Amino acid sequence: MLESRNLTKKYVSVTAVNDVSMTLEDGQIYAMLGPNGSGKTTWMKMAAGLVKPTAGSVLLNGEPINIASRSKIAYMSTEPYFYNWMSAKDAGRYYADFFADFSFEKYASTLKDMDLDINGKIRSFSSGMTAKLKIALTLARDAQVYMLDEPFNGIDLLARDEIRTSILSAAKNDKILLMSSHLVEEMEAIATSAVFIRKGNLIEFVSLNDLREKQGVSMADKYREIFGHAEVSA
Amino acid sequence: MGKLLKYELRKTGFSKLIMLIITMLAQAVFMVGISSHKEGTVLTGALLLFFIALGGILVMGLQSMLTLHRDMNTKQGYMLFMTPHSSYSILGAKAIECTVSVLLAGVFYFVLGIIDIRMLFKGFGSLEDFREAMDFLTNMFFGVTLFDRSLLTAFIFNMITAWISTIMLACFADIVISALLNGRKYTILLGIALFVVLSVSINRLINLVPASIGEISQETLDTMNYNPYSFDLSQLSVDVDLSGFIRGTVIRGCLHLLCAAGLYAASAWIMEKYLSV
Repeated sequence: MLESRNLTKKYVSVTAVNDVSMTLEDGQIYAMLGPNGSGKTTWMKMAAGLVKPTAGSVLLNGEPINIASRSKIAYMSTEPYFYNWMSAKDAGRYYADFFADFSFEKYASTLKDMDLDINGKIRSFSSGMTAKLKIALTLARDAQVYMLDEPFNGIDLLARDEIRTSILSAAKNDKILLMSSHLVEEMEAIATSAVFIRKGNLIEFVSLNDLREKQGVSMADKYREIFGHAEVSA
Repeated sequence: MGKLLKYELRKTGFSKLIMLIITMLAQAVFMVGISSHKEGTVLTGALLLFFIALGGILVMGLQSMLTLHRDMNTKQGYMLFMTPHSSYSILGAKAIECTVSVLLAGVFYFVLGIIDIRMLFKGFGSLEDFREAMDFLTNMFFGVTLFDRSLLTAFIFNMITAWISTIMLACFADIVISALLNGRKYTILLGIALFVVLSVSINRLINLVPASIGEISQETLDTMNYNPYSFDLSQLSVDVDLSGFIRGTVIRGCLHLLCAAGLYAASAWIMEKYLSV
């Protein structure tokens, strides 16, 4: 269980995340949705321990996140973050060196499925290739929590199918999967729950079954309902 | 810690390779001069080696600092800070990498210098000339001739500890600025400014410890035209009692170490509590 309690992050003149409280349960796939600058990435980075909150806390299995919890959280940033000298193989070795739950065999096999050269220099990869590489690295870990920030960014339709398959294969009963994306329809095919965030505030946290059965709308409809006016006026 | 260290060495590996190649080129010039008995070429090679040695050690220190800065202020930092290691381990690995790199570079250039000087005097003089040259060099660099090994050891200890404390001070300045102004432009300049201010202040404090502690014979004072805060050992003779200077130098070295330990603890704590990448 990953819990956010009154989590807040303020920069000098901007509140990126404002008093967000929510609980993510094992066995669920969450779609974190919101327009650009709504605080999705900042929330994920705080949960990954990369950004320090101004107030509030993040708890994993009831314990505040700490050094040990980094070995249970697999975070994939939307930006490329590899060292310039790295090849895809170096990146795999790096993960294998630091994460006991990383399977180099699984990583190599995923790269092969994705048609990526393991000996290729990452700096020579296109944005789509780098996105696939990040997915392969992150999902080759056997973590408790996977947080994927914009996993479909810059990916063509066919590669998206490969990534969707990889993501679904990582989803298990004891895992939490959280993804952010602008591609709402894409997310609707994978997610079991949705988290709507706007201007750092949690607007709605809802299960997709409830959304469909009780409110009679799809996730995309809900997205339009919540953000449509704001995006038009913006 | 071992794996962190391995990657810290890897990050700075390229610049070290470049320094090695440049050194080898200068060495080649020097050796061509020796073998062809051309004094001008020998001098050119020797001067190149001298400046490359000084510059190389400085570049290694700067490269380590630049790597730390990049790790804290660019997305590459995710690679480091998402690993299950505390800031104490991360910073410890960086400090060890920088210290070891610079020390090894120092030993490398010193050994290379000795080999080259031996070659030079075999080609152009005698081994007695070599010994005199060694005395001259140690006197020039450390302010002491080889005859007093204890003082030379104390000076080297002081130099190493001063270097470690300088590294930790540079880390501290960069970490403070990065934690306060994460990702903003010109943070590196502010970090340098903070480093200079702190460096001057700390060195002034450490230099409050007299260069010589304990009883000093009148003969020593007369010989040196004694000033308690700075001294010129090049005027000393073999008979002078140097124990006071050794004590003072060692105490200053210990203060540098204490300072480095304090800065390390403070830097890692700031990283742990406040640094966002």
